[in-house]
Parts: sequence; C-alpha cells; structure tokens
Amino acid sequence: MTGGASPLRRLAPATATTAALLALLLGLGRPRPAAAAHALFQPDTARTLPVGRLEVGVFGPLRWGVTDRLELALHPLLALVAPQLDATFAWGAIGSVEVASHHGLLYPTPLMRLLSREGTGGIVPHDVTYPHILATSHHLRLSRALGAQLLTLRAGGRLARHLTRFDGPRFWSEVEWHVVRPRTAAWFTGFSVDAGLALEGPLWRGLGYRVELDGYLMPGLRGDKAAEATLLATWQPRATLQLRLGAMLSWCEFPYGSRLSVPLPLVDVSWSFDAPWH
Amino acid sequence: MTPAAGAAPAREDESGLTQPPRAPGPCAGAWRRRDPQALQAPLALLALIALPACDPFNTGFDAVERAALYRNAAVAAGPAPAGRIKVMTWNVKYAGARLRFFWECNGTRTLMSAAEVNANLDALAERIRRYDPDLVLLQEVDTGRSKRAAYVDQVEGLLRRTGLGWAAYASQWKADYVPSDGIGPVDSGNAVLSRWPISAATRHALALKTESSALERYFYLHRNALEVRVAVPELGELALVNVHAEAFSNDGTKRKHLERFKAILDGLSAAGLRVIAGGDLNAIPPGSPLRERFPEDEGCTDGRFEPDQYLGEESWLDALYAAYQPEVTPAAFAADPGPWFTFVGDEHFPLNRKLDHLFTNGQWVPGTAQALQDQGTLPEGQSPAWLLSDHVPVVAEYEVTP
Repeated sequence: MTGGASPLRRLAPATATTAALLALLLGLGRPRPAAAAHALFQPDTARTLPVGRLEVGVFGPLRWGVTDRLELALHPLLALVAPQLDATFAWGAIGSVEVASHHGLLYPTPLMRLLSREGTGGIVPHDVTYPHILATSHHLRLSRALGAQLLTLRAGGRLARHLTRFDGPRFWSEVEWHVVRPRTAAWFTGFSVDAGLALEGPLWRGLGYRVELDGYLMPGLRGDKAAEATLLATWQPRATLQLRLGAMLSWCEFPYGSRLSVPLPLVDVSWSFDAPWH
Repeated sequence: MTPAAGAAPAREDESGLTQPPRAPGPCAGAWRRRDPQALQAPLALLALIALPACDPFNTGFDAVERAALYRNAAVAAGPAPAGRIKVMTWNVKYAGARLRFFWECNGTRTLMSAAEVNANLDALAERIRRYDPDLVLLQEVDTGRSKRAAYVDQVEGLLRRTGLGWAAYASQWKADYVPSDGIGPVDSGNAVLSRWPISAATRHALALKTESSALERYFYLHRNALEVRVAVPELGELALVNVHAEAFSNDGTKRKHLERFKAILDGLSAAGLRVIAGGDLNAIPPGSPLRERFPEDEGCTDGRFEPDQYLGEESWLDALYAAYQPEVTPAAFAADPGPWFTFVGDEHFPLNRKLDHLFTNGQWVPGTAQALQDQGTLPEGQSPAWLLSDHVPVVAEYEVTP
C-alpha cells in the first residue's frame, strides 16, 4: 500500500498555519504594559516561568522563560522523533484573573512511522505508510488565586492537516487507546476541542496537590467524546525540585463503545534552575 | 435485528435464561463498592497500585460464563425438522477470505476495510445459504469490537445475511488494545447460528498455553468451547458444542483442549441430551497422508511463519471417534482422504488436510456428510468455498429419531 502523496497541494494551508503561529510567537512575545504572573512548578496554568528560568522533568517538557511574557517548551527526547514546540504567552491580568494563551506545533509523522512496525510495539500496521501530518494546539488559560490555591480554566482545541493522504482507510492509522485518542483526534478529523478545570495548591510543608478534570469533543470520529480526571500529589523538598505522583482515570468513546480505564499512573521529577546563558 | 428490523444490531444478554453463575473476576466490585470504608485513603492508594495489575486491557474470561446472544427479529422460528437437521461447521477466518495476513507465509496484511469485510460476508453467507443449514458452527468470527474487521459485527452480519434467526457468540480473543502488529482492539471467537430459538449459551474456557511469556499469554488467544442449547420444535432441547482448539503448542495444550471438548460432550450425553458437536479441532484423523511439510509451506522464507505439523498427534481423536459418531469414520477417511480435506494455507495449492470435524451422540444420515470443497466449476455469482477462507465447510444431516 502506498500513500498517494500530493504534498504541494496541501502545503499552503499548513504553511499558513505555521506562519500564523510564528507571527504570534514573535509579535505577542514583546513586552506589554500589564504585569505577567510567574511561578515555578506550575505548568498548565496561566503563569509562565520567570525570565531566564528553566524547568525540566524526567517525563515532562523542558520549559524556558524567554521573556516576561513568553515561555517556550519542548520534550527533549520526544522532539527527536516528533519535532514539536510549545509557546505560552502571558497576557497579564483582567482583574484577579491571570490570562495566558498556549500554542503548540507538532509534526508526529516520524514517531508514528517508528510505531508502524511488525511484532510487539507495532501500534500501526507495518504495511501502512503514515501520512505527513502537521498539528497545532491553541488554548486559552485563565487562572485565579483563591488564597493559596490556584484555579485554572483551560479551553481551546487542536487543528491538524495531513499533507499526504492516509494509506488505506483512515482508521488504519488511528490509535484507539486512552489518552492518545483525544490528543490525536484532530490528525484525522482536522480539529477537536477540549476544556479543563484544575485546582492546585499547598497542603502541608512541601506537600501539595493538583486535581484536574478535562473533557474532549472529537467530531468526525466514530466515538467522539472523552473525559479525564487527574489527581496528583506533589512534594517540593527544596525550592528547585518537585516530585509528582498520581493517577489519571480516562473515559473514552471508541468505535466499538466506551471504556473506563484503570488508573493510569503519573510520575515525574522536575528541576528548576537558571539558564546558563542568562 | 432486535429491537427493530433494520436498527442497530442487537446483542442481548439473556438474563432470563438458566445459566451457570458467573464467578467474579479479580477486579470485580472494585468500582461498585459502596462501603464508605473503601474510600479511605490507604485503601484508595492500594487500589491505585493494584488495579492496573488486574486486567487493564480486558483480555480475561471466567472459567464458565454466559455467551452473548443475538436475535434476528425479522425471522420467525423454523418449523419442526422433517426427519433430519442440516448442520454445518466452518472456520471463516474473520471474513478475511484469501487475503494474506501477517501470520501467514509471506503475509503482510493486518487490517481490512469495511468494503472488503462486507464483500466477504456476502460471499460467505451466499455459500451458507446455498447449503441451507439449520445449524451453523462458526469459528474465527469477529464482532464489532475488532479493528482488523473494520468494526463490522460479523455475527450480526452473517445472521442477517443467512436469514437464520438466532445466534450465540463466545470470544476467544478479546482485548481493548493489542499493542502488536497494529492489531489494536480485537474480539474474535466462536459462534453458532440457529434456525430455532437458542435457550441458553455457555462459554467454557479452555486451557491457556503455558510455553509463552506472561505478557504473550495475556494478549494471546483464550480459546473456548461454546455450548448452546437449542429448542427444536417437536424434538425438545438439542445441545451443540462448538470448539476451536489450539493450533500451535508444544506443551500439550491442544491435547488438553480435545480432552476438555470430549468431557463437555460426555457430560451432556450423560444428562440424556441429544448432542451435535464440532468445529476446527486443529487435529488430523488417523490415516492422514500428510502430517508435516505441507506443500504450501515448502520454500516459505518468512521468518515469522510457523508451519503446521501433526507428528505424534495421530491418535488424539481416537477417544472422540470411539465415543461419538463422526461425520466420516477414520476407516472411510483413510480409504479416500482427498474429498474430506478441509484446509490448505495457500489457495494456489490443493486442499491437503482435514482439521474440521462433526460429531454426534446420535446418527448422521448416511451419505449426507461432505466437505464442501467446491472444486468444480460453479455457476456465475457463486464463489467456491476454498476461496472464502483457508478452511472449507463440513456438512452433515443429523437423523432425528423419536
């Protein structure tokens, strides 16, 4: 089976998406009047890292506070097989609500082609040539401090273009498994939307928590809804180190029906430090 | 199909039927518990750690459990049999026909398109209808949970296309996701189609292979014998047993499957029931001319392909032959085996072994048993059975005696 490649015809919209993202990155990254909120170890909120600060996790991304309003992030290992870059723009505050937008760019094709193989680990059949896909994500983040707690609302969606055709029926390239399906739905349908609500804060000494509920809509897929609930315990033995331990429950609709996952473990260790070049 | 003709396929849980109680699985109750004690933090933490070890991909079965039932509401129950009941057994290779899958010599395919599956179901049903059986024992039928079959429910599809009214299904390979070869979600197993109402259906688990790793075993086939009770007008209850025994094992698993199959038949016979049984036993009769090095396997350079061989297994069906009436006796088979062959791995070679069998504790009508090889020229629009699967159907007529 071969993919009927016609990349040039589909390149224009993809290029436009990339250009728009770059323009956003360059244009909105400039300093603006209102103050932006910064914090360590608070990813997935409206708060960005302070300028010149780096954070990295064993499984989490490498984050970099580039300017007062711009944070960049990428997964160092994942980027080798799935080139990607995330940018978070801090827009300041509206009253007591901190506002940021998060944008991601991902080219997953090399990774999916690695997973297109015979035998164990073959997530995609080896005779399927995975198409070239360019995917973006765009989310608005609103955070509000409630005493020592931080409440964050996230809403947005994902867009994607496949630059070459799917090899065989589209579902041959899909991955019908928890966590993966809602995050890859747009690769197949062009778009998906999602929203989430998270609460985090300190508990006692260096211990803290984060709870999160997320919902996904994936119009165009057979089985087009998913929801996730996450409970994390955090421990910060010192200012520059954080351990995270918890679990996620995922409910997801698949082509054959809906399933509730067993608790999926979440573990990570993150470090924070000043960028050597800063 | 129920609930309304033309609506989505019905897959009923026949809660009103007499069935053996289902034993709770290792994870049972973990989410249903209402005891407030269970919400205490230490237990919750323990559950977080323990639950992923239970059955995260949903591959397990109980030793004995109910089979799924299907109903084609557009069809009424058939009339009382006129002296005989037409029976067919067929391994239909999940409607894959002669597509070459990755587990076959030089095969590459894993998945099918919906168009391929539906076209093959049309052809399979046409061949079944042409024989017009009252009871059909099917092996390797996929449900709507199988990605490889494009999520087409083949039990429902064959029931509707054949015009039969009832079906029972027991899975032998079920996983929410198989992370190997791109298989993904799968649900494949044995089914029985019937012209008359199915009053009960039970899945009997067969022994698991022991020679593979725990991970491999977890995702590997969990074979079964499907026991079905059919209410035949003016005859009473008829018991059917449909089995698909292990194909590849060096640890005695296949023999255990054949012994368990016979034990189930023995139990039903001892209870005074009329029994019709059969399936893909993956075992050859004594007198088979070839037991290894089958012509289609010679020269296969595919490193992953595992060729069949039956050396040392020639007597494994003896106990069944001694206790039950086969559709062809070992002596008749040995005298002229060719017409009874049911399998060849490559359609470019002639059928060369008999793996599919029928047995009864009653009698087959003499001269009615055959393997539907369809070797001759067929009329326009009719597909030969040997192109519709790697097996051909075996048929016989059961003699209805008072």
